[in-house]
Amino acid sequence: MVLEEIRKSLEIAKKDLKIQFRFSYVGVLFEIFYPFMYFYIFILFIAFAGIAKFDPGYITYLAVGMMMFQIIYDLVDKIAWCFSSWESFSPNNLLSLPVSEISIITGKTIFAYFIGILRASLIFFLALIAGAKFNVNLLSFTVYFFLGTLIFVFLGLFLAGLWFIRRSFMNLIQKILVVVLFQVFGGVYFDPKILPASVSWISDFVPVYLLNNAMRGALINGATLSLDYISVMLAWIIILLPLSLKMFRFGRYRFNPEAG
Amino acid sequence: MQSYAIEFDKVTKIYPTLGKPKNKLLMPLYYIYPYFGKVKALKEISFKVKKGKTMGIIGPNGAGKTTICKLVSCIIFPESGDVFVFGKNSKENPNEIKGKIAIQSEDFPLYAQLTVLENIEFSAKLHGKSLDREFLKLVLEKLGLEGDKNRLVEGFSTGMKVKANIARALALKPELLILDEPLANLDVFARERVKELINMLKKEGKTILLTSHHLNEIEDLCDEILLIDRGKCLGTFKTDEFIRKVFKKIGFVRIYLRSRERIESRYLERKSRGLYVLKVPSSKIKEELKNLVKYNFTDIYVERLGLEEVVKWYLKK
Repeated sequence: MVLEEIRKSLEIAKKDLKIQFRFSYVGVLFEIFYPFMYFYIFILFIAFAGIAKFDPGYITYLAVGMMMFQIIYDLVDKIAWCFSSWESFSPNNLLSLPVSEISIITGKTIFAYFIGILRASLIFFLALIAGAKFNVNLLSFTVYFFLGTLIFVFLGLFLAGLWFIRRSFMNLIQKILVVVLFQVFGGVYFDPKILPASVSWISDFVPVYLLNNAMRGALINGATLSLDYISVMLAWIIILLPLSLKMFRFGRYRFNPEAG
Repeated sequence: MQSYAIEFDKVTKIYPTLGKPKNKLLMPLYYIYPYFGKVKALKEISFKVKKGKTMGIIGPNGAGKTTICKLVSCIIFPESGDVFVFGKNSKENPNEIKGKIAIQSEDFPLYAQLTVLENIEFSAKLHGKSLDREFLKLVLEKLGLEGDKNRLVEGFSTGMKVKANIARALALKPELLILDEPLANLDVFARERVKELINMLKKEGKTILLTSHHLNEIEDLCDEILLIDRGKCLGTFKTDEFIRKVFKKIGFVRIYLRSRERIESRYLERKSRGLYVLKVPSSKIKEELKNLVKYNFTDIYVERLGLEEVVKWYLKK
């Protein structure tokens, strides 16, 4: 039974990869050059803007933030839209097939990680070329990565529930979530604690900031597992698990195919 | 042993629709989520379909035909009442039910960036089925898709997309086949070939649920008819009896003719851009056909009963 569902998850991921990359050499090139443009443009922009110094320390800091952002963004995005645009605007397609919601989400996670990890790897090598220095603690990295995956899968699921209820509303939320919460308060490019205290507290409630901090410790300083990070991540999972499932089920059963 | 493939027990389906909340305290929410209205797509519908039988659902637009198809295929679930498919409640065992079903509908388009064959293979893999390659070849040949099976669906015309969608549903050889207006958008030849394929699956003992606006199609393919209008079940009937009884009562046929020549007939109902629609009493059919033979028409279609007349007839009854 479990093996059968894993097989179905892999089939979904394989299908998505075919759809994403088939006959689109421009698409493949974009996947390669996108992190390149993103990484170097941001380094230059931030250095020129005087926000941070263009030194190996900052490059490493930025590289980890951007690697995590690429992975998380793809993960949340693919799961949030798993019954919609990523299904070629055929929201009912996967719903009509005998595959459990867990398999669909696992399939989308595999697909998202393929692209996310591809981009993150490129950023990693570009950062090495630019002079970044990493000191990786593999155990900490693996544990944080696993816990982070669960947090962002549930966040994606919550958004998928919103999509079922009202697409345009969910679209707006996702834009705010990704642009403001993830990028600004998530500490991708700079530490949000440098912002005025009246807004910097928001970052404490943004799981991207938590994951970025934990990952920076594990990838830059080779830090061992921290019980603080693990307990906060587990708390996020405990909060998001029932909330996202409830939202997803609510949206799924209230689904009106005609609602805009 | 369970003898029914589908059982609807007082099923009501409500869709949220645009509307203000009744409770004024909820008004601020209305500006974020304006779907406080409700529309009943189905109102306490009950019917049963025996295993191995073909049931046709007929009704005008908005009657609830597609909603029934989606409820059977566990895409949506009823607000009240129960839907049983092969004895399993749709709310409790949706995936088990989906494994025995294949659905063709405009709402379930193929993946445009995959080929026809890849689409069919993907569905088969998720159904956990190995494809009957000979039958698949036959289906693709009959539908004229054999030469296009390795082409991406995105380049297809509307008619070809419909054919490919039908091919996907038929190729799975499911226990229950749901066809939501399968013959719409198809030319006459393709319609006949689809009918042949459906009849092949009928002979193999598969249960089929089919919706259509056209009684002729239902008459050709279905053992039973479910007549619905605005979410209400008007009744279930044996097809032969129904057609005979209603035809006798209504007592006329409609003849659609396409001609560049001016056609004279006292039964002319309406004409537009070379299309003539004649409403001929059943007792005068032979006489009128003799009259029509002398004209040079390019296309002729005889409809024994119009859906509107059937619904009106039933409501009068």
